[in-house]
Amino acid sequence: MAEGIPGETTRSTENHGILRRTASMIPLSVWLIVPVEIILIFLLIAPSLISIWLSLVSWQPTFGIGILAAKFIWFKNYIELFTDSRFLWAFFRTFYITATCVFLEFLIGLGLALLVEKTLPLRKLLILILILPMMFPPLVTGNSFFMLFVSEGPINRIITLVLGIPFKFDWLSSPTYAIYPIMIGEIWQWYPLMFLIMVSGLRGLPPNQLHAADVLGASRWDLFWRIKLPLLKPIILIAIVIRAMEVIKLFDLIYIMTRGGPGTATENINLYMYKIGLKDYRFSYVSAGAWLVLIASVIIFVYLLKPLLHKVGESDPRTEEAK
Amino acid sequence: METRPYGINDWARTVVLILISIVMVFPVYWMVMTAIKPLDEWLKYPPVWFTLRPTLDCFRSILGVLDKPIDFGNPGQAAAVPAILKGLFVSVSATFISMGAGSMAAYSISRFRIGGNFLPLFILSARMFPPIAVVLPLLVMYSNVGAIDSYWGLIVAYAGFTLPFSVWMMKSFIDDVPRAIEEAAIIEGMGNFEVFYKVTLPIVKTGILVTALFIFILNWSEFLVAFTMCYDRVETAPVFLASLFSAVCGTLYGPQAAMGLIIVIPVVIFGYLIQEHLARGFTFGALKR
Amino acid sequence: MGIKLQLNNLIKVFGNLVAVNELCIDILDGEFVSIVGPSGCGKTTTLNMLAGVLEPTSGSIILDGIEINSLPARKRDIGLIFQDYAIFDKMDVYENLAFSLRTKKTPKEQIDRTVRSVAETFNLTGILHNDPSFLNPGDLQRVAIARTVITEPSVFLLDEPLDNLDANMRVTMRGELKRLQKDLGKTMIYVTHDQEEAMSLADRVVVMNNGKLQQFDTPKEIYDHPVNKVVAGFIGNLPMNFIDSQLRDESGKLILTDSSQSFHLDISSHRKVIEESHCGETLCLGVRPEHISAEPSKEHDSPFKAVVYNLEILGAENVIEFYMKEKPDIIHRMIAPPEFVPKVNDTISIHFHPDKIYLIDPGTGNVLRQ
Repeated sequence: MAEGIPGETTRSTENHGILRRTASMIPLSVWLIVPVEIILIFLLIAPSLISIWLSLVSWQPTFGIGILAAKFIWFKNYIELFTDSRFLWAFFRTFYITATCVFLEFLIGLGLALLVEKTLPLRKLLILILILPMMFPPLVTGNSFFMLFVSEGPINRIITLVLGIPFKFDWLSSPTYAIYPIMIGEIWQWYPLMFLIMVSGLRGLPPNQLHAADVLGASRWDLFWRIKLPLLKPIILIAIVIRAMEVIKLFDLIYIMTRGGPGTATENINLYMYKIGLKDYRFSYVSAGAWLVLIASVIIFVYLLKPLLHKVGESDPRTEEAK
Repeated sequence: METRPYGINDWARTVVLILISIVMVFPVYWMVMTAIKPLDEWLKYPPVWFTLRPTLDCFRSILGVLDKPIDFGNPGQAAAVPAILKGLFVSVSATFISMGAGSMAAYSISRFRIGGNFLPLFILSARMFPPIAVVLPLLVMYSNVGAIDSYWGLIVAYAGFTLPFSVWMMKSFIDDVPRAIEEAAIIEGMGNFEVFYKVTLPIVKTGILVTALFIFILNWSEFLVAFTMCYDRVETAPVFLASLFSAVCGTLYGPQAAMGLIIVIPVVIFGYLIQEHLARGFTFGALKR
Repeated sequence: MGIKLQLNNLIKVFGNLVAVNELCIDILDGEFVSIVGPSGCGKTTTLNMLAGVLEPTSGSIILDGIEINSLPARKRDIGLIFQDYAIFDKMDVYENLAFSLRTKKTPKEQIDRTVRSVAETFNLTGILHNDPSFLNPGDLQRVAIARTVITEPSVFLLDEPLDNLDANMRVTMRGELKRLQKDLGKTMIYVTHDQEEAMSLADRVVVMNNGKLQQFDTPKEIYDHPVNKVVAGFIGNLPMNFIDSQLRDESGKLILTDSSQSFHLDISSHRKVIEESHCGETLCLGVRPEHISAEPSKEHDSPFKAVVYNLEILGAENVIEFYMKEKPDIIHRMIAPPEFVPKVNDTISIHFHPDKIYLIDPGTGNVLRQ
């Protein structure tokens, strides 16, 4: 039953107006997605089209003209971006932050998941505590970490106590190091998600394969590297892609901790677009930048997801039904 | 899992985890402490690990409770309550819209496979756009209809951004319902929409609740869009928090922490309520516990 | 042949359920032992405890004189083949076979040689680099067995290995397994719920029910002399018929009959054992379908009247379902030669051979032995 039975049953259509009759000719399956389609058209398609247009013209709201009256300049914006060092720095900084944070979140998440794999005392309570950071709105996390890393803050004090020498470093004003509290905040915020995903993944492993490996003489090391990890690969891949998609969009944390500063030292692409777009009003320029980022992200994700897509195609439930 | 008494190995792991938990909870602890510290202890160095003079002044100042007005020098600082209410209004409304549209679409995708592989992935791709990139064209669009700094403008935007979650999560829940139940209802003469409304939806009640709470949390926590598209009238809770930095009097740690806590508490409560389904939510239905 | 494996008072409890209850068996070196019983009788749990996958609640397992219950699975000299084969589906067949050798850090050339030679023995050379997700159950099973054989364990455990195969494959593989065991000369413990399989393959059979050992003996002994009603009813291609009956003393002869007097069996020869059992006047009479005859013969006694309920024509023989007069709800079975084709609802005369009947104490369920 791949297609539903057309909307209404043909009970008494004679007396209904033309609207009703048209409605019953369109299957229910289409009606159900109309609201979503409307929203998507307004919030996805229209903005995308406008954005593409903006990137190909020269326009700012301060020009005082409608966007359709803007001068068409082909790919000048894009070319200019390639020589804009601030943009390029923001661009690469974004991917640097993404790669580092996702990787570390993954390590911590996996490590913790392995620790709670078997029963242990207080397991449920510990898991509840460990996932707490994920519940925080990112802005509040940013606020919290801002307070932690301030010169007079507890982090500096702890380091002083540990190192034995006075350590009072203004983390968030340092061009080289301000990025670290931000990344630590991001990792703190989201490692619980990786943790939950890994716990779920480990739980879903086929127990008999694990037992078989045991009986065949595998050590715990072997068991992990040669059996569990390969079985977890698809889940790990999904988790990494989903997280990466979100870290690329990182804004709240950086805004509240450093505003992208000092100067432009912690600017990622979103901060850049915010400042250039909404402070300098260079809408066209920024739109082009956004498209560059999107294209780069899509390329990376498709590359990462390729092995998964093969497997999904093989076990498509519809082809199973057809058999 | 085997039921056997805990061995030394197990206790060792618990100890390690307790230590890790302490480290992870520390930022929260610090925030709570800051929110109840008196003004002179905010920036004291060495920091006050545990205040002996807890006070609710920070909360009072932002909530505008006037029996003991504490002015930290920030005009407009007592606007927490309006911000919270506006945030609630926007979040709840957007959740309703997103859930309504999303559930219907999810049903169509799950049962009728509408749009094949393309439509669901297209909806998912909405999450790939950096919000800023969408905000700029939205501002252009909204300015033409006067929707900037408007409630409906923000609500519609939020609904759109959370659609991928509502569609994919509900699809995942609906997929779990065996088709046989629906087919039996159809054989008994129910129209297709009736089946959706009277048969399927009640079965996925929990799924609806979970997805709705999840989306509410996302809306409530959202900052960027509210910040950029509204400047005066529509101030949501996170935006208000950000405003507690002022050029005039520097950073108001205490009130910030207090507001942070206020924002966080509903989220934490709801989050724990749906914690079983968090993995499913964030992976768009790919992983079910 | 010395004792290879000893299970002493093995107990496994899951919460409120006693899955294995004081199991004591001694298995000899090179023996092929089946563990058989209805689902839930504890046979797979026992196997898992032997392999080290489960820890016993109490009791001990002794292999070659050494107690192994506290040893982890990988340190035991035991191989286990799972019901679902548990092939590592992220590796090809070659890697599956090589797995145990790699964990021992065997040099590459040796791994290659061993894997290829074992693959040849099990006819796996052609599919050595195939993805296990695309193999059929027969191939998968051979991979599972080969994978275990490579580790050269001194005891093989098999958990319902033929369950996933279709009927024809099952019969073929049965023979191959028996052959394999003889070739390897190793002790093999084989769990199944199929009593025919258990009986045909094993040197000795363990019958379990509700976690308890019922009988541990050769197939012939179990068939000829089942120890209680459970064993008697479980073993045998068609289940044994059980008839509730009463004892009568008639003119010096001990007669067994039922409430409606539809049969009349002289069991004076069993008098001694009956008196010793103190079971009173009611007995349960057990007789196998293959021991009921429609033809009178010198050895057989007085005929019983039975009404035909159903007739199954199998080609080499016929199976007749019948009931005793006035007890139409209890259906019994007999095996008859292909020429005997009564109609449904016909009344027929049948005979029980008094030497081939089993007298069962209705209270304890034990079979009274001469």
